[in-house]
Amino acid sequence: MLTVCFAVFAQEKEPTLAEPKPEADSEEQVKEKKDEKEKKEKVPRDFKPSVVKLGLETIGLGRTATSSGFTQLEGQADIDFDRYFFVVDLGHEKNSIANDEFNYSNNGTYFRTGIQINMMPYNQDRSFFFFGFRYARSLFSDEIEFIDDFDKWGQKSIEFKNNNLTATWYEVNMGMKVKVSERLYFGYTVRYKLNKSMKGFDNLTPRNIPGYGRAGKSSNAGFNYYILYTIPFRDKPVPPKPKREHRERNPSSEPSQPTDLFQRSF
Amino acid sequence: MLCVACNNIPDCRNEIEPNAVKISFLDKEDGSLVPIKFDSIRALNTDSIFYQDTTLSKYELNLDPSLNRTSFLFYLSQGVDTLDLGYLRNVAVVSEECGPSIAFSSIAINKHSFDSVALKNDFLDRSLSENLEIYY
Repeated sequence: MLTVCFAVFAQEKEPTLAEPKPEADSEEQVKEKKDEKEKKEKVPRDFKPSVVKLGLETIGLGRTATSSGFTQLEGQADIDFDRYFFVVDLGHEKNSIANDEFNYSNNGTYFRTGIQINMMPYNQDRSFFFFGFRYARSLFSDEIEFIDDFDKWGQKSIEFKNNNLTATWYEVNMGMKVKVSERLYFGYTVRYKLNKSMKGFDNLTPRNIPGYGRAGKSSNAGFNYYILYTIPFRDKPVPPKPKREHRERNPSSEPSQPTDLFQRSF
Repeated sequence: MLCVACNNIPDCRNEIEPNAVKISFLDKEDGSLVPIKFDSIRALNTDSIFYQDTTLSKYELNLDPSLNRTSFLFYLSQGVDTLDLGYLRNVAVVSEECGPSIAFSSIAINKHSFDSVALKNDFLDRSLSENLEIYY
């Protein structure tokens, strides 16, 4: 019995000389196989645009409705290029601070333009989380009028005005756009505004930059909430999620499992 | 709770920029501070008298916030000396509570009738001890 068991075990482990070893693939064959595999797994990229989204910023609208001295209207448009979106924001902002002694007002338009990268391109709802970069520019004017009692100089009325001010900055964005109905998306954008530069001012230092916020800060944070309406003009299926490669198990490298417990129980 | 309430009240005095130029009178031979008696110190475009019958070695004179220049007149018993200063003004809104503040900078001596005047600091700041030295 023992002899039979050893003989079976020896036959499983050691190939006989009569059975030729399978020949190793040549380099070309390996490369061909790899290319074929990649072709099978690669999701086709479609850079032809298929949908435009038009949106309205709601936090600015809310502030416009609830606070005096502040008006903001901002719209957003984006168009898809595969998993990338070209985005443009366009807005107008008017801001004033006043009390009995002074009146400061600031008025201008701004735009931001850049790219958003869809981090969830295989989502069947086409909702997505994104990262993005923007270049932004604001064109604005501001003015101040105030009356003050200047000690030895008595009460004086002073007025300063800046026209044709420009400010530029860059933004790093992240956010989400969630499909709520067939054509409607809700989405937010968190912004980190940096590398601000401003020119054109003289005697009056601007307090605010439309679209940027406090002019005195070299970097700023922002948050916007959008309601977006989609206008599709081409059918574009959601790309299938690529299957992850599973490592094939090599049966010869696995320790052979005993098929017959009786054989090991000697 | 009381402390929180106190902290919410801004101290605008520290936020508002100073508007007085600081002038020191020095002995032209040894450079030491010299008290000078003026019958009065006045300025063009205002009826206000900045100082009257005063003897000091350091004077603080407010600049005209509505113009980019101020001419001061120093009345002495033996005559009148003049000092004409030019400068830039920059207005910024400090806060809604404190309102605007004018910062004076790039102060320059346009003309004067003193023997010698030296510009030491061309901007106004609370930490500075003097802007001009007049050798008498």
